[in-house]
Amino acid sequence: MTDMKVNIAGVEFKNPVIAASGTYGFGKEFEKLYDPSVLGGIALKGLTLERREGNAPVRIAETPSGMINSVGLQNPGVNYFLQHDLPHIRNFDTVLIANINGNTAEEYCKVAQIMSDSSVDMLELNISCPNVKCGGMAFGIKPESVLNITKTVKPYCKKPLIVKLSPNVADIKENALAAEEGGADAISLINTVYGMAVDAKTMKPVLANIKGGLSGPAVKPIALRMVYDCRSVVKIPIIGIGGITSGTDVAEFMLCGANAVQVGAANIMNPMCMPQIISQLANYLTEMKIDDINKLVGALKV
Amino acid sequence: MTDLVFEIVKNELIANDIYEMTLKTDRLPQIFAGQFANIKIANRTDLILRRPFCIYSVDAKNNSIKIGYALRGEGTKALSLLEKDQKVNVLLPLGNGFPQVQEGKKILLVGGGIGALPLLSVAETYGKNQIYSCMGYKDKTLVIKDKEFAKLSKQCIIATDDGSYGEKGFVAQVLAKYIDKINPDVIFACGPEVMLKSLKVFDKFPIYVSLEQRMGCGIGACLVCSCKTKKDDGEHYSRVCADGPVFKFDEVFYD
Repeated sequence: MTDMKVNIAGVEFKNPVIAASGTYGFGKEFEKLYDPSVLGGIALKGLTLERREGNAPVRIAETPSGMINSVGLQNPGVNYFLQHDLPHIRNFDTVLIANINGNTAEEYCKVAQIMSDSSVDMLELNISCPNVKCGGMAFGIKPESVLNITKTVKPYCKKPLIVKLSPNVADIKENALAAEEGGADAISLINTVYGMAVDAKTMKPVLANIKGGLSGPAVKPIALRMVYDCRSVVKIPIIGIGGITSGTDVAEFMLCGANAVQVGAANIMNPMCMPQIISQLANYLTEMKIDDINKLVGALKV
Repeated sequence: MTDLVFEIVKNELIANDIYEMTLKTDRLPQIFAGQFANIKIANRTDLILRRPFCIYSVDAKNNSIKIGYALRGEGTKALSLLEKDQKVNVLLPLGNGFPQVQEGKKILLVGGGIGALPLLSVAETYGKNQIYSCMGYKDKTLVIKDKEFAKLSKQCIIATDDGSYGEKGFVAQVLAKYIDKINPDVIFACGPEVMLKSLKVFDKFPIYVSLEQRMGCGIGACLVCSCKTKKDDGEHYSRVCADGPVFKFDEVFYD
């Protein structure tokens, strides 16, 4: 069988298929369906210093080939996670990535510091969540602010730092470069596309929070383009995210320059999707006679 | 829970814009009253989310289940167009169903509209000796499963808002005349929120309600199908799919 191992910032993944933050919880629910150890990694549900309840429901709207969510970072807080969740999920033989969030730069730093002292393998700086009033996307829109927050948080990170980029920006290349300059060990993109869904019958927005983040197959072309653009400017590894539902989707992202990928909305569409995607990817590599998956990275024939 | 391929046995209109779908598979897992299934709509890649439906009837011998749905949007419309022998992916059984009730205890089922369906699974489980039912519908074109409830209940009261079938009035108004005589050990209810809230007047009896919410994964991971609940340590958003869909009445309706 083809070697599927990839290396991101010194961390080895058994395959490039990682669960995207917010769609996989802390993995416990999926454990009832299959062994999460088959995954390359899990980007855990976004964590904040204190417990957060998230936004009022309705929190999800289906749109053509997509979905808009407005969960708003509901999570039990870092301390609860460390005591009640991490000891169990650390038994999964997969890379664990803590997705860190905050209202202020100080909070990001504190969460980064606390999670650095835990047994997670990597940190993902979430400066691209569209569903929270403070922090979130506010830190991720302007390149200067991406540079500042990355530079500020980086010294608190004893684990490799991934910066998760927002697509809701003027030129994502600038933001990718800013993250790299700020000390990011890798970037992941894209987070959700800021959007809305309207119910013409009730004349109301579908989401209680009015606006939310669009994900699913509908955003894949945007994500591919943005990965392709970022690959042309940064040297650090890229984790591609956006509408992946199959093994060939993974290949497409890698061809555009991603070193690994995250699977998000597909976990919600079909909770069994990730093992299926991994085996489809293995079949693709065999069919294409590719002996090392890393040969796919950036191999798009243009 | 497991993701299985089911084959459609029947998909038919049973009332005004309300359909019943019978599905069978090779080996059906054990399913408890009030649990639900999350169903992928076949042949529609644009409808990416599954749709959650209560499994209201289980035929273990034939490995088949029944679900019901009202035509509401694109998803239910697409579902209504599926035909016999077509295959669909079904994730089940999901959620916590209604609590187990001891033999001999009286269960009062209170349903509103299509909310009658999850309660039918309770009636099927316990049978005539324990079941009392009171079902309310908007009008006679929307009456569903009245014969089944009549057959499986010691006493079955049917009400319509306009009096076009059964007694006239909202379900709580009609039930008020009978409830002390029934003197149930527990009430299980399902229906529109306004109808559920109207059951507050009966809260000297323990009440459990089955809720619905726009849902994502169905297994408790994505945190979109929230409902506010009051627990010992304050208010929290619970997950309708994994912490429910059945909740204690005063946990969800407390203000």
